[in-house]
Amino acid sequence: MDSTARGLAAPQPLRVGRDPALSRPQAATEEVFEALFRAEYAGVVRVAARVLLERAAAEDVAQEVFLDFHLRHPLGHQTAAGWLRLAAAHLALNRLRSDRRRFRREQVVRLESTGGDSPESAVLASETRREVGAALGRIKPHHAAILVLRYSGLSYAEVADALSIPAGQVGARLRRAELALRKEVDRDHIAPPG
Amino acid sequence: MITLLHPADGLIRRMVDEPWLVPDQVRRHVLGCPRCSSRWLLVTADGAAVERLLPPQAELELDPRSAWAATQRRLRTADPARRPASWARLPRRLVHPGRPAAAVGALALLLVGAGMGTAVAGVKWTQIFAPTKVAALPVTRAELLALPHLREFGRLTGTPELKLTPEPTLAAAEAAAGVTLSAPSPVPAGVTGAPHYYLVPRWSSTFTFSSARARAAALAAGVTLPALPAGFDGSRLRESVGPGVVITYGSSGESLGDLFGVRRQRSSACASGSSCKGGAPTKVSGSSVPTLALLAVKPPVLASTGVTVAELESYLLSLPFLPPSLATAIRHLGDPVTSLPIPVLSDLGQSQPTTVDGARGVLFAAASPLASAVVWEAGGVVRAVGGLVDADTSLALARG
Repeated sequence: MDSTARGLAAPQPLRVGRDPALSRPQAATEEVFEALFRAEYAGVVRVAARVLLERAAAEDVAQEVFLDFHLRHPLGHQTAAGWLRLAAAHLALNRLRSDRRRFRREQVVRLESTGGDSPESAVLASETRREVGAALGRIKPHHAAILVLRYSGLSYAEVADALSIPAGQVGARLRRAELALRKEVDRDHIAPPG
Repeated sequence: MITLLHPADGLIRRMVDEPWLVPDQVRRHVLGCPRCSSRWLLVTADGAAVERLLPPQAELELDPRSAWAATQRRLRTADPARRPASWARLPRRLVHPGRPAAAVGALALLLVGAGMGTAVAGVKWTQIFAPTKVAALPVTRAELLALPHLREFGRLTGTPELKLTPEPTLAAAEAAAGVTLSAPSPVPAGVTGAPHYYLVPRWSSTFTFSSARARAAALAAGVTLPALPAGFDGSRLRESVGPGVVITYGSSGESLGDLFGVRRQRSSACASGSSCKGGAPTKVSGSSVPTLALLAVKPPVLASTGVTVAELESYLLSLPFLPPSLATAIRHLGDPVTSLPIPVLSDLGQSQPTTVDGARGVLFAAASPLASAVVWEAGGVVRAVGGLVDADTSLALARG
């Protein structure tokens, strides 16, 4: 593994301050923020990339979210990971909804996921993903947010953490969101990629 | 006697993704209740449809040092009094100031994570699984339902969904795959329709173990999982399979796409000569199943950054929710390094060992509906033939 992966192999579900013994208020140092950044950066980028499909744009969103977090919560946050991921989802969806980003996405051919595909299938995948992304931007924001979080690979517990809802409510909300997206996709006759 | 009400859609939805986090009595009810099992199938199908729209993402190659440096620069140049651009659009809950600070508490945990990353830096991949024979793994649908998703033990990245590519001729598919496959001649009685040819592209995905993720899932469910063995946390597995060739009879490419994830034709593909109508995306047709299918594919290979197949098997067998019958079947698979498990649904039909030109194979046969299949490996290629035909027909096709 190359050095770029260092610090990114940290597990996803770290929950800042869940352990009462670790929840003493204390001024966050640069070191603490850097540790949080290194642990959560990849996960936050992944959430943004789920929406934007473009690594550079996703990284920009992630850095903006970390910046916001630091400005708003210099003393840290009880559920930092969830905060960052949900913020990334909303900010990415906001950017998706802007025409400028939408048009730019049309020029994006693919992320690494299509690396092994033929040029034709890569174009098909890119086109479909763009249309699915546009559909995400049209459904209700809370529906889009839970879809982005869940389909970024977060568990129900992590989604619940990000949304500050009981884990038992995730299934119902996810179901409603999935139906909303399917309805939007069916309306546009978007064929899912393979 | 406790009467269980029909569970809500949300609980059934979770049962699809995280079945081991749903109480046993609820799962048993859903599987045994005709109404709820129908709802479960519907929810499963809807979830699968959305997953095709939002397929798992590839692992992003990121440079955390550069990203951290860039964020530091933005932090230094940011106006401390500024209102973040995204602020007004974030949910009110996100900006609630009353939550206690706890960043320091996380430091120790986060450094553990950072240390873990360092520990695997410069690691070498070692091939740990290269099957040379197939072995039946009897499993029921209920047992499959009881198994957890791999995502609960770590992070799965790559291209987890296998995608087939239609090819105009068998020769084209063979040339693209580098694998040969003989079409049946003559086609068995009852098998109708023109053959369809597909390339199975090389497929791979990477899984990174995470003890924290496993622990979080277990804590959320109130169950106790055995701790990941030493060396598992942060270690990675990379699976690859293919390329290969598929021939089907009795179904169109569209319905096969529903079954196997073939990318449906769209307007931009029409320009390349595909049969599209008016450039409009095609709609999903019915769920017609191929009456006969033949497959030849390079077998799956598993590489690891440290964990061995024996350790994987040992941990799998230690999981408390693994049904005893399935655990026994896993123990009887044989050499875990060279045996390719072929799951056979024992509640739908029966399987038995067979041979195809001297190679070990597995024959599966179901009476209702009539169906059978033979799977075997020979010459470094996994081959299979099966469909809505009887066992003798499948065996005859396999043996040429």
